[in-house]
Amino acid sequence: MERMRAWLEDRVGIEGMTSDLMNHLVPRRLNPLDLLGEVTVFLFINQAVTGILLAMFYKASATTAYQSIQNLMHNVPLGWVIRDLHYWGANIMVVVVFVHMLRGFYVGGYKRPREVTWITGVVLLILTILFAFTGYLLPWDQQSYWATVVGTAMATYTPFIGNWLQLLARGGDYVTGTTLTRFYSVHMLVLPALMAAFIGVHIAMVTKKDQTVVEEAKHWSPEERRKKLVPFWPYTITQATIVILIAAAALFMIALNFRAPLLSPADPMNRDLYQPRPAWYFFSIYYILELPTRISFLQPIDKLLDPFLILGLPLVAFGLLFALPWLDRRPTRQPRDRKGFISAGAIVTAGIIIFTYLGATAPLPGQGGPAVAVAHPSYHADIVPILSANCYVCHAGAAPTSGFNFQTYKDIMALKIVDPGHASQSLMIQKLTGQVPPQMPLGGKPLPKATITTIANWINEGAPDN
Amino acid sequence: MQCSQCGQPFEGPGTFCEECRAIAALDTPAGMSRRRFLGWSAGAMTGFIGAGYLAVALRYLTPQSATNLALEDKGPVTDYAVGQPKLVTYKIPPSFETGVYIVNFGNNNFLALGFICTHLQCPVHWAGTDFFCPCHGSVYNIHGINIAGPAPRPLYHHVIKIKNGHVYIGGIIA
Repeated sequence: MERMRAWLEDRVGIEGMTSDLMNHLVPRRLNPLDLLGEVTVFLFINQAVTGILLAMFYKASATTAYQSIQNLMHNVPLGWVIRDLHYWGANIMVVVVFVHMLRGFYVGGYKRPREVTWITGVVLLILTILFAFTGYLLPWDQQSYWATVVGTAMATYTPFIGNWLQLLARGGDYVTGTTLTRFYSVHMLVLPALMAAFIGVHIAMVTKKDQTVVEEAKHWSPEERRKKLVPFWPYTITQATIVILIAAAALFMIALNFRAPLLSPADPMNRDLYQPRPAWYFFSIYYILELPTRISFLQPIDKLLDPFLILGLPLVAFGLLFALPWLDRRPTRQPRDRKGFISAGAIVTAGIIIFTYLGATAPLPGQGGPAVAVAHPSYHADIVPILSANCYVCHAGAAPTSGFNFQTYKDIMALKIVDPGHASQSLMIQKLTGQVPPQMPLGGKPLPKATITTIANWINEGAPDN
Repeated sequence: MQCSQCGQPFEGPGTFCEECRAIAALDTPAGMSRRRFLGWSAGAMTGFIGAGYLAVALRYLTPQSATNLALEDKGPVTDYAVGQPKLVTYKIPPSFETGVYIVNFGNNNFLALGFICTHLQCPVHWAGTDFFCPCHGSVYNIHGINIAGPAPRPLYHHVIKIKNGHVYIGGIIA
């Protein structure tokens, strides 16, 4: 065995090539957060393995993609497990990469001599987001279709070459099967190659310039160094494997208990009136984009702000990340000596978390309605806008799709869906609360409580035509 | 250290001994040594090949924007109630369908409005009084004019023609 190893080493020299990595010294005691890079490598391998398996059943075309995912979930043995591992692995990877970057920021990992480590890290963050964006389209359901329509439409706000960029991304004026194969090719071939290459450079840089935590060892005595520093192999690897084991257990727990969503098939005509929303990691930017429509004094300049929010915000954010090593050039890495940068980072992180939460919980624009229930609502000022935004799409016009038309006050009274003075006995309220199924709006998110209460208040006051 | 050019031992940094460096004129400050010239040439040729592939790939990936789309018969004028926009499909070759709202204003005045919001291209829907975009809350009136929300311009107009009592629609004009 030993002779075989020596024979191979003499000809290939793997140990010689990897000895820098395996032998580089790392403190014996590590913060688990310093092992998130290793967790990311594990998650990337999870994506690669499950991705290869998915590709064996996935059929990338507008007419077959959705059906092939359904087949995968219902007919292929453990197909749903593979899909859920890939779906949740991707979601967890976005979080882990982000936290890994925050840790690097906190310990001053971007500072000299680790600028290149940091920059390759930012590139890896962008690649992770591109992976998520291109993969999102592949199930070809309503959710993935419309998120991609909006996502690629954002490119048109680029000056001069916006329309060309959109044409290039979509392979046409619209999101079609051509877009799907384009995204599939990038997701399967371009991004994995780039990702593997940049992970290689990133790890080589960490090997060459050490992790930031090794810096403190510079102040240690030779005895301390002998005692507290251990080679990456097998000490740090073992610690990392423990953390990876926990991450893998969490991934399997989530993947086995929560199904990756699959809505109705993509329909460019949007016949089921799906209300487009982005993936959760874009909720913060989605909410910020919506802010001008929610804040009254911003409304007049909404259109001016839009290009800056759509394009400027991400450009500035990633520009700052790339420029960070040169923005903060002081050699100190101690967080307490870098109060300005640490607080700026904390504010931005808190902002991302808060806006993600707000974006996740915000009522869709179609649900309009008052923020607080109106005590004495007027039919024309308060009720009609709610009905118009939520109900008229099926309940108005000469031939309403639902068969019931209550576009006017007279229609409402004629249909007897409102019992003046008795909100709880009115069919309109019972339908909105789901007491009488199916709950309205059909197929949509239930109306916010404040909106339903406003309608109930109006009915309890005798449902006047005021 | 052994010089990797001549194989003789030498002192100092680098992979070549001083004599070999001098012969190869590696340290020539001005002008261009043979090695440097060859290096630049190899780089330029690689760049040339790469640029060729890039140009071909970019052209390959940039489709022609669809123009001169065919007129499509969307049924008799009587199918369209006055003041009630109706959503119909419109074929984009080879196999794509987009949505167009046909609005009848009476007296043979028609408008064909693309159902794609001009902000970020979500599908708008007619909500009894106005066109409403579910993504960021843009609102358009029955003429397709943007009256609220972030939409930067009115809905796109499609070609519309009335022939022999039938409504025909075509590609986007403005």
